[in-house]
Amino acid sequence: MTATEQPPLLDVDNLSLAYKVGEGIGYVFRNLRMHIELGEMVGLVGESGCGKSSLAYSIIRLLPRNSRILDGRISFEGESLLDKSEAEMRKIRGSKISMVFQDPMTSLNPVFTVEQQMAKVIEVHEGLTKPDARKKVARMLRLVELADIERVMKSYPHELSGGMQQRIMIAMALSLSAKLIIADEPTSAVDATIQLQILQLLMELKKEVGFSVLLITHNLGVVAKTCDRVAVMYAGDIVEEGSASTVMSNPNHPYTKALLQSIPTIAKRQGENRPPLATIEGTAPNIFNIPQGCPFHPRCAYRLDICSSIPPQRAQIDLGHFSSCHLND
Amino acid sequence: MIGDFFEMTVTTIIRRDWIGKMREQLKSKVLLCGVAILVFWIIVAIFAYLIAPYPQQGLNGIPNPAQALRPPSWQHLFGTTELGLDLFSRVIFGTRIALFTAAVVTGASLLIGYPLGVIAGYVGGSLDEGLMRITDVFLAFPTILMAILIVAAIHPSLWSMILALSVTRWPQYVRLSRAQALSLRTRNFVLAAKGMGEGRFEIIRKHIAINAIPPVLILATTDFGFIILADAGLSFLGLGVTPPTADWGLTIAQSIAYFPVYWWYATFPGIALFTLVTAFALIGDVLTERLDPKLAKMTGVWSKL
Amino acid sequence: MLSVNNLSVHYSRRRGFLSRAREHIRAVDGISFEIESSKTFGLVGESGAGKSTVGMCVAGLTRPTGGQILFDGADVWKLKGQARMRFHQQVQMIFQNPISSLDPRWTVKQIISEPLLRLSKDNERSEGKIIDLLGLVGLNESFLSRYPHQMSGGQNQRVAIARALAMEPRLLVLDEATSGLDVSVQAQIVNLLLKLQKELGFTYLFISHDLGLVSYVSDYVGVMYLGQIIENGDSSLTFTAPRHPYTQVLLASSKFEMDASKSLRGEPPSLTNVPQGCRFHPRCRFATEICREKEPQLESADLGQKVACHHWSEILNDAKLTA
Repeated sequence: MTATEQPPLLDVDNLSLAYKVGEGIGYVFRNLRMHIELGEMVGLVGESGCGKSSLAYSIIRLLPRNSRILDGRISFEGESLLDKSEAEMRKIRGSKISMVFQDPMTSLNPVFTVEQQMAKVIEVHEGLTKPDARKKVARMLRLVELADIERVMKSYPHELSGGMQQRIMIAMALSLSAKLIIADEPTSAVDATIQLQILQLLMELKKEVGFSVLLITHNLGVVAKTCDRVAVMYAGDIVEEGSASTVMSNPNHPYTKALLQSIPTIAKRQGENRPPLATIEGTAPNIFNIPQGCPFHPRCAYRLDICSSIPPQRAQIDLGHFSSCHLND
Repeated sequence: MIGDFFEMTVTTIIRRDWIGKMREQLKSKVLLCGVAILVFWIIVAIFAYLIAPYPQQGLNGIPNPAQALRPPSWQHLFGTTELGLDLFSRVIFGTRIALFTAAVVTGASLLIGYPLGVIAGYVGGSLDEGLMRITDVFLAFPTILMAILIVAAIHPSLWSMILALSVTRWPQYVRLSRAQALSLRTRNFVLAAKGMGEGRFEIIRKHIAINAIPPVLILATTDFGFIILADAGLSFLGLGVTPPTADWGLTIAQSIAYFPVYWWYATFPGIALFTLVTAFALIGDVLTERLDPKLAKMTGVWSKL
Repeated sequence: MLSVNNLSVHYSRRRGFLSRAREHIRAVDGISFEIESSKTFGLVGESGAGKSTVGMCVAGLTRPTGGQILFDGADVWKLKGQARMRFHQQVQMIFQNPISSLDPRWTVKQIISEPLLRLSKDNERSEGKIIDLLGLVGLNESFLSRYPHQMSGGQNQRVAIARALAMEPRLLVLDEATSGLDVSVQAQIVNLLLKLQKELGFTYLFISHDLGLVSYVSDYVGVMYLGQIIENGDSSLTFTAPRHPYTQVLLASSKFEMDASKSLRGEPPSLTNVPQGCRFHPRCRFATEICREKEPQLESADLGQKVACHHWSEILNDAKLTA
């Protein structure tokens, strides 16, 4: 890294997070490392319970009360986020770092019109007057390609379709010129065709406006076609990381490989022949009993003796392609 | 300076979740408290004859003017009434009436209201509509008014009071059970049972009836407290139990004339009433919290109780 | 084995909480298809297309307002008494969201005994049979005393399948049976279902919105849009050579081909406001006058599938149109 290279927009280094539930302590992630550059879309992929949402909430510091960040640094635009006070974080949330949630219906306030919700946020953060804020709202809604803006602005969220609600969420996320948008399963609640439109919108806006996106999803297909880079998460560890095309076409980590092989696709059906989908034996561990050594080892088809005792190190396989597996040693 | 200190304290409290932890501790203590008080009174009620020093006076009581309105002493722990009867014994026997009334009324409401509500909710249609209209009529009557009407028809007594109270309480149970049945009706496991060819009543019996219970149970628990209070109130107004029975409300009514000089007469029954009703309120409160969020996920409630 | 003829499910409801106006919802409008023994018929479409409703009608859980469902030649909804019981025994449904399909107060043992007890009054051998059934779905004895909330989604779904199998059915309706599950768990369930089909000869009606999944699992597929089947044919064929514009867009969307979104205009449809003529016309970029006026019927296309579109052959032949 030369002196003229820009530091990443978001840099997570050595992050460890734990939850205390009743008497037990669960370790969500240990020594997590990841980064997002300016203007890139990074996909965070993993199955339920792997900690991807927790990572998002760690970044914007909206973790539940029974959690504790044990170690590590999160820096955004060069500044450490973990050191900031709640007041400072509130200024950052929604303006510099915005979040778009899974279910737009529950993220939008049902008792306010679209205009009221969006304008209020703009007024508070940017100190604009009501009419100026309203103009900005209209501008943002146009940006997300909503038709009939006047009507939409005066509508209540439940009067609009899921796709429209999601676009409004994106508009809200962008209205304060966010540099980083964290999208937590933004397309799980909408249909396939709308999903495509939303993702395409996100990609185009990203190019036009220049923000970065952390796309959290369990859907590998989404990531393959939309993200620049992808990070695969398992039981709180990022087991593989690299450019989307490389990781999808040339997976290195056994978990990534198994995941790709277990997805049914049209191509896998060859006329009468139906090769069984690859499955991963066992079940994913919960945060209270993460296996020793490599967290994936009990389910790994290629495990070695060393995998059950020593956690693998993150190694570079190729340019920009990293994987944590003893098989690479 | 002070502002910083304040902010620091509040932040620490929030960060370390002291309030949450306190609440957890309190909740179990509260439950313990409530149960303890309840158990205490139940034992008193059961062993009334053994505990009360003057059981006959507790039950009815032949007036004993010589001992009238004596303040608390070793012979009469709570003092005596204007008829010379031992207040301590009367309070103890009053427990029996309170608990008996509550049990019968709640029992009757549950036995009649719950099945009706569950069936109406599940089956729907005209049965449901008819039942709803009937309960609407009953719900429109306030308890006291209904008691007055019933008492006007039959003279006041323990059973007329029980009748009046039952008649006003059962609609609540019907409503609640019906609501539960309605929401359970569309659940997938009920559909699955239908898919096995099970008939309506079979499904109600096997699936709906048990799953609808939790909120109804909570209602019954808090209702207990309400009924005891209502019993006392009705007797106080002369609409329930009649003298010489030692009902708490009646006793308090009789004590009004002598208050505040002969303070023990009103105070001790009052305290008894207060503690018993509070016990039910506490239990009901904690039960509501324990059962409610779990209701949303319908998890293994029985085991958690 | 199963024949659905002109099935319709219409219902009306009040437009709003306080409104007196009623809106008519044509959830399913004139659907016909057939399922052969031991084959899998996939029903695919987006939310609101009506696929779940079709599934419920086939399983005998929702009464249709029009049309017939013939199972082994007999009209399902005209059956009574014993015959109806037998029908229910032979057709079982697996639901979306596994935990909701199991009674939260029952143990696994009770859940699976219920169908066994319905079939025969034989109590003694039940436990052995239950363990066998659990084994069939890959669960061991330790699960007998567990409650649904103590198991994972995948395990719950297996119990649901075991319960369905206990009835000894011939047709299973799988309504989004894997939608709430992780990909790896989904793969396990799918493999299990296919294995059971190969060994025991089950017939499946597989309902899903996931095209990849449906194409992999099904032999034949019907694509639904707004209550109608707009394309119907062999599974591999339909997904490699779709003829209906909607199927084409749906396919492209599921493969995340970014340009596909350009070919879809307007907002997704609502069942209360069904367009005149071809239901897809407001969003179809090939729509013409005839599409707005006349509803297309299912007709045979070039490779054996059936398509309901006025212009399918023109779209196929005119490469310029698809550019």
